[in-house]
Amino acid sequence: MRNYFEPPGFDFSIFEKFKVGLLSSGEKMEIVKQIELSPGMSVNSLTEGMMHCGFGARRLSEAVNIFETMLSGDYRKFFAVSGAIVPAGMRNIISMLIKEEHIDVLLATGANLVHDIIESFGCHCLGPSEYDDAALRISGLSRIYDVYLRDEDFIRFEQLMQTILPDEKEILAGWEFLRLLGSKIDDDKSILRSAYNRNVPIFCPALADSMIGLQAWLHSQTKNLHVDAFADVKKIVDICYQSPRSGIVIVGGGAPKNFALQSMLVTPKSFDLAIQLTTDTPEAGGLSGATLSEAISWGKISSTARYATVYGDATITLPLLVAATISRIENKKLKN
Amino acid sequence: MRTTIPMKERDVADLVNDMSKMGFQGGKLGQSLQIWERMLEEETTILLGLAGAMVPAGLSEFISYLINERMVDCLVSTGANLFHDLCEGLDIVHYKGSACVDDAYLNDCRIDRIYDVFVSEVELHKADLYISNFVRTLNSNIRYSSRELMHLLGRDMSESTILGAAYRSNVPIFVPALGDSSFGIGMVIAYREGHKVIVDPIKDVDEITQIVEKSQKTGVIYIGGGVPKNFIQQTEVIAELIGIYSGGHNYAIQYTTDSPQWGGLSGSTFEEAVSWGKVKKDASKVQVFSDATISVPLVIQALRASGAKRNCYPIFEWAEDGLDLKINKN
Repeated sequence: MRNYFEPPGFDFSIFEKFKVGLLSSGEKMEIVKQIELSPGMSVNSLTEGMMHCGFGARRLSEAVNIFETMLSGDYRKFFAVSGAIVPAGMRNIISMLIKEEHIDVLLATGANLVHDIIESFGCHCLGPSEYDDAALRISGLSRIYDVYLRDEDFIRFEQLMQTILPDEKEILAGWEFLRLLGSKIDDDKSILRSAYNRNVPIFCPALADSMIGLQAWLHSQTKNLHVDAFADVKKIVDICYQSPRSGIVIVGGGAPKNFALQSMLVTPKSFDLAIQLTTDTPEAGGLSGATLSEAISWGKISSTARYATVYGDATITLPLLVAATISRIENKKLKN
Repeated sequence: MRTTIPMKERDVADLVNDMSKMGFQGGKLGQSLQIWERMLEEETTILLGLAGAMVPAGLSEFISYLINERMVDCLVSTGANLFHDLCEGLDIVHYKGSACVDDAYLNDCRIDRIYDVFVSEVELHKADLYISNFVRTLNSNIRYSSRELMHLLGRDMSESTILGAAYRSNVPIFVPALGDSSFGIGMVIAYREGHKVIVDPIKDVDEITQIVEKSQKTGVIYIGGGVPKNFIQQTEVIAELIGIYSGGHNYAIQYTTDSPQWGGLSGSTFEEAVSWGKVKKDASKVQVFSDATISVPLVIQALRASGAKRNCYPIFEWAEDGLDLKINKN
C-alpha cells in the first residue's frame, strides 16, 4: 500500500524551516497568538492583543504603534481628512487631537469644515440608510447615507456665514481665511476654533468645492473677499521644508491626501511615518486607494519610513486608533 | 510599451485585445482574453468556477455558449446559479427591477429580490417541486456524485440552458455545496417523504481530482470566488498528496470584485496560490478586479468575435473503475 503522506521523492526537510519559523530570506517569523478578550478591557489592550493577529487586526495595531511614535517623538504631525466623517460623528476626535497638540497641520475637505460650523449651532440626525429620497426633499431633509440634515440648519449656516465672512481688501491665503473663520466660531469643540486657538493651520485644497466656497462667492459679489489658493501651496511647502521629521495620518484619500503628499514631494524631505485609513483599494489605479508603498516610488514617503494602511470604514478604525494611542500617551505621562 | 490605444472603428474582439495594452483593470481584462485564447490552442483541460448570482443577472446563455463551443471543459458552480438556470429552462424568467424598493412590499407581492433583479417566489416554488419530483425518479440505493445528478437533470433541458448544454456536450458539472441551494430545498422535500437520495460529496472530490490528474495541463477560470474557486484549487493539493502532482494549474484567470487585503480565499491573489502549489509559479495568470457582469460578457463576446476555436479538447468517459480521458483533435 502506498503511503499517501510520503510520496516518493518528497523532501520533508522543507518542513524544518517552518519549525523555526524562517522565511526564505532568513527572517524569523512571529507566531500568531490567539487573542484573549476580557470584560471591561481597554481599547489599548485590545489593540495590543491584535498585534499578534493577522489581517486587518495586525494593521490596526501597527497603525497604533506608528501613531504612538508620531505623538511621543519629535515629528511634525500632519492629519489629512476626507469623507463625511464630521457628519458621521468624528468631529470631537479631531478637535481633541488639535487641543492636545497632536496635530500640527490639518488638511481637510471643505464639506467637513462646513459640517464643523453646522455642529457649532445645529445638529446632524440619524435615520435609515435607504429612504424615498424624493420625499426627503419635499420634507426639507438632505441625506448623507444614514445621517440627515435639516434645511433650517443650512439656512442658519448661510446666515452665519454672511455675518462672519470678512470684508477685507487684502488678499488672504486659504489657511488665513479659514483661521479668520475659526476665530468667529463660538464653540470650543469646533475643529476650526480649536485650530485657531492652537495656531494650527488648516489647508483645504478644494475650498471652492464646498458650501463655504458657495457662500464666499455670494459674499464677494457685494463685499471685498479675495482668497489666493496658490498662497496655500507656499505655506505648506515651507512647513514641509522646516520639518526635520514628519508623520501623517490620512483618513480617506482625495484632495487632502494628495495635497499633503505633493507638498512633501517638492522638498528634499519625505514623510518618516504614515498611516492611512481607507475603504478604497489599489486595483483601480486611483490616488485615494494607492498603497503608501506607491508613494515611496514618488519620494513622498521615505523608503525607510514606517507605514501602515488599515482597510476599513474610518468611522470604525479612527476612534479605535486614536483611543488606543492617547491612552498609551497618557500612561507614559503618568509613569514619568 | 505605450498605454494609449488608438480610437478607431473596431469589433469587440479588437477592442478587448487592444485594451490589454492599457493600464489598470482595463489592461487585465485584455490580458485575460489573450490567456484564454492561449488555453484554447493547447492540450489543456479548462475548468470554470462560477459563483455569484450570474444567471439571475443575465449571463446563462453566455455560459451555455462556452460549454457548447467547448471553451470550457468542466464547470464547478454554486447551486444557486444552476437552480436559476433550471428556472430559465422551465420558463421561469428573471426580471429587471430596482435596487431601491420597499422590500416588505415585495414580500407582500411574493417577489424575491437579488439586488436589482426580481423573480416570482410562486414560480420559484414550482422549480423546487420540479427538483423534488426529479429526485423521486432516482435510485435511492446509489450514491450519486453531484456531476451525475446534474447530468441527469440536464437531459430534459434545452441547449440554451447551462444544464442542457452540458448534457449535450458531455461537460461535467460539479456542485460542491449542493445542499446550500434550492437543490437542497427540493431534495429535502423528497427526503422527508422517505425518498432518501444520497449525493456523496467525497465522490465529487474524487471525480474532479481524476479530471485534473489525467489532464496534461489545466487552466482555471473563476467568475467570482467562493466554494467553486476553492474546490478547483484544492485538486492540486490532493494531487500532491497522492503523488501525481504536476506543479499546479498552468493557466489561471479570475474576475472578481473581492480584494486580497481581507485575507479571504475569494479575493486572494494567484501569487498566494503559488505558495500553496495550486498554481504553477510560471503559469500565465491574471486577475481582473471588476464586476463580473461587466467584464465577463465583454470577454466571452470577444472570444466569439475573434473566431477563436478549440484545437483539441478532452472527452470524459466515466466508468465504475474511474475516468477515461481521451483527447478529441479537430
